[in-house]
Amino acid sequence: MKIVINVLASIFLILGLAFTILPMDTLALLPIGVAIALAAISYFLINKKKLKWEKYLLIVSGILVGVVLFKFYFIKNEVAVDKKFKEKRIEVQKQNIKDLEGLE
Amino acid sequence: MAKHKIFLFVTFCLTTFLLPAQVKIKPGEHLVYTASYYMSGMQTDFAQITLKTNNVNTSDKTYLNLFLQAVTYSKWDSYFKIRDIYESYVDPNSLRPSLYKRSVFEGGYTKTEKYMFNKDGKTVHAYSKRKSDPEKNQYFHKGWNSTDIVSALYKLRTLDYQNKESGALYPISIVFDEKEINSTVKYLGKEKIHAGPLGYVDCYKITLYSQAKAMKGKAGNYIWITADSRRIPAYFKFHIPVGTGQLKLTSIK
Repeated sequence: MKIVINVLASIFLILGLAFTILPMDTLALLPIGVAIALAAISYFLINKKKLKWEKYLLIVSGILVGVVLFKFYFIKNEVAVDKKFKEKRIEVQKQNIKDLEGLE
Repeated sequence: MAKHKIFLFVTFCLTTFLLPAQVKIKPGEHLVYTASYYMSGMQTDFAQITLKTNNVNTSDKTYLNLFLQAVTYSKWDSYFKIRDIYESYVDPNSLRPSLYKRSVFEGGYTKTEKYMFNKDGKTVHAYSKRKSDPEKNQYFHKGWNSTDIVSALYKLRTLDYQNKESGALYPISIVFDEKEINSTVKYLGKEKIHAGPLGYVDCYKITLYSQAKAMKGKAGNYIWITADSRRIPAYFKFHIPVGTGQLKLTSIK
């Protein structure tokens, strides 16, 4: 039972790590939260020999929570300056006026 | 598909009120929204949506350019880059379109469309090109009141909600993907919401039912428009199979 819970917690932690690396913002907290809950159940509630593994799961989960919250609060969303897109837009605008003239 | 639903929904919220328009769309308007995905109270912001209006002069006429642009934030560009433009050139008073253009770039998928609306109001000359397929050139017929997707969004704002009762249903028709799509808008009454830079404001709340494949039978798509003379679309919320999508107003000029 303990091993099953630890394995599940590890899977959710890996998912949480992937979401943290990807730009998922606070969505990453969902799998990390599940990982923390499962690791906590395994460590605190199941009365068997406490393994180091659960401790590591909890520590890494905590670090990931910190990273996610830091990214969410301190890294602002920005739109990249896309020169090609802007140049294409100018061409399209000129063409649009030609099309409108053609309609009249 | 979800992204197409977003744009379909956003621009389908139109009512066919028969009262004369009380709000005029002015040139020089610039609205910016953040598009987000929500699930279980958590969110991810993925794109910026911009709505702009400008006057465009030709040798004979002045058109109002209604412009909608969707751009992913730089953090998402490496994974799924979006550069979409939807724009329409309309009569400044009636918002009847003469020219509609759509340019889609989504994760490498490209599509361009151009609709030239005949002066009879019933025929559209459509050009479309998808990825590396050959360009399609066709005519199709539409109803007199059918309009393009961008014009529909702006026209929505010009209508008189003040004298309408909650629960009123109105049919609308929009041309999209070379097809006429019939939808129904339901006015749900007034609601006070937080509208970003506008603070807490009273808004008209409406919802959409559509025959479009992406939205058929689905509820939970709403738009809130400020109940003042400017009629700013303050907030959008739309249904996705898991979670919800939202557009929040972040900047207004």
